[in-house]
Amino acid sequence: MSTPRRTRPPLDRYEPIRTFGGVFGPPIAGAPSTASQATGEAPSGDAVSRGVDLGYRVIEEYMRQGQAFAKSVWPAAAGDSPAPRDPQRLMEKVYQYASDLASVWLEYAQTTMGQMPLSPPMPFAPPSTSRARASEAPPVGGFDIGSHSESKPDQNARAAQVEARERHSLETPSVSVDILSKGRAEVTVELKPGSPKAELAVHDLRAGNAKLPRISGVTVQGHASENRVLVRLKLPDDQPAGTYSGLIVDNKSNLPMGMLSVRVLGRADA
Amino acid sequence: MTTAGATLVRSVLEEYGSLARLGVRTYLRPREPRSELYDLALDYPQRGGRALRASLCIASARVFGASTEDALNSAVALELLHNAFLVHDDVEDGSEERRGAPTLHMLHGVPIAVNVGDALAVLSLRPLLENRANLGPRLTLRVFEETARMASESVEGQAMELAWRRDNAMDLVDADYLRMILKKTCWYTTIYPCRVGALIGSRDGAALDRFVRFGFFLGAAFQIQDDLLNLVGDHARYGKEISGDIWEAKRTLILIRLLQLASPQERIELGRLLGLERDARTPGDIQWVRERMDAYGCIEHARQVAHGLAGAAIHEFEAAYGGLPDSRDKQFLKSLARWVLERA
Repeated sequence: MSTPRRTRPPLDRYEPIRTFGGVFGPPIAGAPSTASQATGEAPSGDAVSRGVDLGYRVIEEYMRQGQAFAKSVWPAAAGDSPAPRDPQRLMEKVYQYASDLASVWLEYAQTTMGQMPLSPPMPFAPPSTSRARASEAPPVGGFDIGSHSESKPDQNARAAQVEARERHSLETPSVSVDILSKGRAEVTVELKPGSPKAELAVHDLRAGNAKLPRISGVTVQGHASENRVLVRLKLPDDQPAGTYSGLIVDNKSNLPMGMLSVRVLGRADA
Repeated sequence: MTTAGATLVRSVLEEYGSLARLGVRTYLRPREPRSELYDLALDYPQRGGRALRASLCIASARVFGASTEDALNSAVALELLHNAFLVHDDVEDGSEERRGAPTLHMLHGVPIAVNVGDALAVLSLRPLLENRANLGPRLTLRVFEETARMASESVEGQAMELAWRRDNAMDLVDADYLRMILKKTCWYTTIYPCRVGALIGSRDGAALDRFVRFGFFLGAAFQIQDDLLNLVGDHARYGKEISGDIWEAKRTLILIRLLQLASPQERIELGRLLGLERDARTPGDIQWVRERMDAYGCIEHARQVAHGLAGAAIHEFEAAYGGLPDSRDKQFLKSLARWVLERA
């Protein structure tokens, strides 16, 4: 005698529940309608779920078309604006944020000090809108390009003096690297103009893979008179291959002044 | 809708809306040429409006931790562009009334109105440029990219609808309508504000696809409710001509339903009426179409579809914002799905 084979119980449903119409209770009709009976149409609840089902089909079709288009234009892309998971891209984003912050900080410094731009004109700013702007009321909407007044001669002279003083420190600083390592390594240093004047410090250099050990003990020393920065680092012998990066900051303000990256080459790379 | 939810939506719309309107006025300050441009550009914004789009943008940014100031320029730009669209839409649709007063082209003629619309669109670039001070150059460009996409989607949607009227399309289905409003309405009313808010709030760290789904369902429910109000709304509160969509032969979900259910004889008559110029239609024609809509339950059908879509918006809300900390802005975004159905 054999026992009856066990089977799954019948399912309550075979498709997603999309009768969201019930979320708000029954739709409030302006006037009761008997049209569905008169026309042999589906009952009202079906209109709700059919509408939702249709909505999902339309939006999914739209998303698929968008993704297909994106892939055809940018083969590497899948979906729009994916949140980056690649460590290298994350580091790039960190640098971008730091760069944005630094440029905003410089702009703030210019505004508060009433000086000429300390950085090259931003792509959006019309060139030479400059010094007169500081004493003018700020533009309040509308296009004000071409409406700014000329600087007065004495203002120009003062500005020229300030510029001359600043110019030296605004040139991109040169970099010297003192590295102690048994293996090969590539060092990249990016610095904001004027950074040799600051009291610099470097965060521990970290790889995208958090399991890899950090590189610590790196120092950065600014020599303002030479507009030069000296980087000293020692790579442990057993440091795994990879790219390690860390922010260079101004110790006093903790504002980012640049980025230090070290690519430790493995045997295969070497 | 719960009283608390309705009160919250009203209060947030009032707060963020007043900020956005103030910003809009800043960019439209009186200056020459006044009588043929800047005074007229201020006309529609001064007539009121809820500033739903601006409020959505600000709330979406704040939910992700941004300040109101970070999102305000983008919200103001959107309001300016919205008003530009309204001016041009009114010309394209031959509309006679907007926010309780004659449309701009009815007051000043089509050429002046079109130029005012152009000016509003151009002026919307300025606050986007000024994002640079708060957001930095890279994020400012990302917002520009989103704006360019939104503008493209919107004009493509508008082109679909205009072509349906030009060609006197009679064989449309509900999915056609949803595809059209996805582009024409949802992108700039709900999808874009949510995406840009998230973009700003997350500093470009959030994946934005999920806001397309949420924005689509919310915006579609909003548009269908708008179509319903056009037929059954209170004229004083709605601010537009009642049954104006029938006068303009707009292919709403309600009209598409009627075209599907009408008898062969009625379809012939509908085809004739819809193919006429607006001025050639009579009040009797409009009344007949309206009665057929009632007889076939088209209005009720649209109302139910709107309910379903709003429910789906609540479902998608969880995917879009569910994981974020609870806040007044988050509650506002969630309450909107119900609010769009109950607004009058």
